Amino acid sequence: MKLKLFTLFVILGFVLSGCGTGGEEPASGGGGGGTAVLILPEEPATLNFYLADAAIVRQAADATSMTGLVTIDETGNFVPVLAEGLPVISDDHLTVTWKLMADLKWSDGEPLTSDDVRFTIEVLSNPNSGALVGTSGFDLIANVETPDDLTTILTYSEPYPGYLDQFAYGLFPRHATGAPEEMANWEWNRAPVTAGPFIVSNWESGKRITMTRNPNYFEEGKPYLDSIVFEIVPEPAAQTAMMLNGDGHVHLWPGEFKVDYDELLKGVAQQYLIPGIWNMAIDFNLSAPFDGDPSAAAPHPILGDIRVRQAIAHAINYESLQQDVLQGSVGDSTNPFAYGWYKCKLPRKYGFDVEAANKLLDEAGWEMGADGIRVAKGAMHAEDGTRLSLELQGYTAFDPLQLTEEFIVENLKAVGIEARIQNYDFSIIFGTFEDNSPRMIGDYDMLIFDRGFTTEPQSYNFDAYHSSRIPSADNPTGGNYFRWVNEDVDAALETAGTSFDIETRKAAYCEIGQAVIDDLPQVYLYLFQDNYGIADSLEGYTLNTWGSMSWGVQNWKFKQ
Amino acid sequence: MRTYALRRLLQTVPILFIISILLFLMVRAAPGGPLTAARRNPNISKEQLEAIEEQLGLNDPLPVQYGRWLGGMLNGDLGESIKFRRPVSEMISERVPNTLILVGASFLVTLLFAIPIGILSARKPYSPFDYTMTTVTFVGQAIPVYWLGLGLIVIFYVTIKNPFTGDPLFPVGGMNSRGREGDLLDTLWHLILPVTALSLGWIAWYSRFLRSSMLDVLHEDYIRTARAKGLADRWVYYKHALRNAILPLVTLIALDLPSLFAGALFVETIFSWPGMGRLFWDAAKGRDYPVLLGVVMLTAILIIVCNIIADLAYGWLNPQVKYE
Repeated sequence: MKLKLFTLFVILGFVLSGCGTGGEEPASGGGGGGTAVLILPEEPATLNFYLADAAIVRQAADATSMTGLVTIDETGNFVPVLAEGLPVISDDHLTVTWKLMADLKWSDGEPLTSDDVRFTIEVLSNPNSGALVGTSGFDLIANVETPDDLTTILTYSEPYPGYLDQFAYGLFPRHATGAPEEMANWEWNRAPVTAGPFIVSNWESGKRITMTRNPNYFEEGKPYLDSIVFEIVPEPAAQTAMMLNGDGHVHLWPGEFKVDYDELLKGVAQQYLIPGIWNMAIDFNLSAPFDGDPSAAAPHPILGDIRVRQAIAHAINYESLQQDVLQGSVGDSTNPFAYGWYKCKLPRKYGFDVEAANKLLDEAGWEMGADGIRVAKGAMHAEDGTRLSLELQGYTAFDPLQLTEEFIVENLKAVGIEARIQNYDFSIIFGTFEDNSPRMIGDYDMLIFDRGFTTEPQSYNFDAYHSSRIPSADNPTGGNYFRWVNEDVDAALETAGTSFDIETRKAAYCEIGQAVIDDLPQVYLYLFQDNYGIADSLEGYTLNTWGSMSWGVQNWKFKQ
Repeated sequence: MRTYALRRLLQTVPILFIISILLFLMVRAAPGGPLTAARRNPNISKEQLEAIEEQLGLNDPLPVQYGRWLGGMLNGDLGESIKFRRPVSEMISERVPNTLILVGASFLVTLLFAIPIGILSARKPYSPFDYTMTTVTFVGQAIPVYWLGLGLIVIFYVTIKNPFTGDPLFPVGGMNSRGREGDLLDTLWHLILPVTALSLGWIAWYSRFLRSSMLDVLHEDYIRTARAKGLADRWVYYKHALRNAILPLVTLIALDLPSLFAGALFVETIFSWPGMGRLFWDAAKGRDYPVLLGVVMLTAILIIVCNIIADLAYGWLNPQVKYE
């Protein structure tokens, strides 16, 4: 019976696979043309980048609606796209003049002019547009002039260093969208009229998004492919199976480690890793927890002594964590500025050294107890008899984080520190002051999670490290939850925020990075990498930390 | 019976009202909210988040939000998805046909296999056929659908190929090949693996149920009487025994009917089938309240309606049941 059923299955398969694939468009073509299939684990909610907080949206939007005046290339530099060149900025940094390339057209054939730049500014500066991302600095644009179809002159109310980044994520066509305050409900969001390489030809909800070549794309002869298809495949094993059978060409975030993936898909596809923006660190609370005071006034009984923080940093075997526990899927990171134009290559000051960790704890007045956990005897802030026991808070349901936590617990135990893992739902760890999130009200010992920022790092880092940003009832949105006060860091942040000179800004950020290493409000563990599976048959692919799986899609072609 | 049906229908009104309050509270009691993930996005300012919360009405008191949602529901407006910014009713109506196809086909296959297996096993209990089916059904019930689904993909998509075309025997997932929407044969081809994965467990469960129900009935006095009258075995089994034995199965089927709407999350996920199960799960993960509430509320209504249908069908099939 079983055998018969199996035979029936095979026969059915033969018959139907003949019918089923007969009419399917070819998945790939030789040289120019063909269709590339990109595998997404979930459906993007929209193709309007500005409405979305999810990384998945950009994966598809980059191929169509995100062609802006400039873009950030794989080296982290701004390069012109629809603009003729980088804009001219006045000496007082208040006037920025953009020039569009001549004869640009939207995908529907209408001319793309400076009025569309003006319209984009109108939308993104409207507080009721419903935009979630990419609106920084638009409120500083006090005046827009468009003396001709190609020129846009912007006057800022104060100097804004992020003036390039503002225009890197796509323009809106005035004629094919709607009112700015209606942006969330524009039909354009799912079928954008665009200046990008591809246009949506069919969106089958929950199944796939098909895009075909934009006939009015500005780069002559590009895109090389006829069409691209984003297939929505939630199951990771099914995604890899598709790559294996050649039914997929670009695979977003494969579930397998690179070694296993490359072995399994030998001759068909490979996995590529590039630095991501998510940087894993342990954060220390430098102030006393559970004292009803969220300020930095009283020091943390254990972590308030820098020698304990140094000992914790010494106790961690970074190499083993990166190479063994996470199988080389992450890169090394010692400070917040681990990628981008502001990247600071700073050596680890308190590297893996168990002996040094033990020595520091002995000196700091923490004696080894009978159960292998140290106890205070003459410690700086802790009463005698206090156990060296700390809570390590993370968020749930993220395997790499859980593996890291367990490894850290073992490392710390080896030097007589007890770390108690306490994982909370995402919403609690990243909750607000009003919600009594432990991080915000200062009721925690150590936190562990990954954090990241974009090409314009100022607002994130000012919020995280400036002493005026310690969260409290008066300052409930502050981001300096380490409660770290360092005047030099405050000054460096102010320099980085007002200078337009890249080298000056970079030096200021590196100074902050070094202060993090010296003062240890945090200890950085590793940097996540973005991973993509790419079919060997595809060429012209560019891996870009600042882009997505479909960045540069106009340059892709199939090997002959 | 008509009075009974009417009374049951009227009773559903307060029940649904209470359910709506409970569901609303439960959905909102879950930690986090639709903007939780946005909170840690370095590109999003806190002011923007506050503006969006205000715009979506998430800062209003819960009773106000409930009232707004209930008012909309009563007018047939399920609201708009926070994530997709599309009407919930549109999103649900896109998914319901897909789910009906998948779960409906699985139901059909289940009944086609489960009823004959159940009857034959009961006719010849402890025979080699019965033992084989017992083993097969136990295995069917024990195999996790997730594992079975992946196994089917490995065998019929990755390993076995059509020797003439070199194509996989069955597709890895989805509802149709590219450019072949609405092609029945193509959809059938895509249906076979997910339906197999989904129905194996059901066949096991239903056939065991029918077997034991048949065995119970076969020991009843009226069966002995029928046999004593000299009726042919066929008549005894199919006219006298089956009609009574199938009664509990009808209840079971009626109670399982809401899954025609609610979908089958695991199978939909493994086989990339865009059904209601995935819609619900994605909404739950992203705390997309309007979608979540729309789906669970409609499911609740269906469960209640199907319960009433089960009760009515029971009476229709069994004249001994009296509705007072």
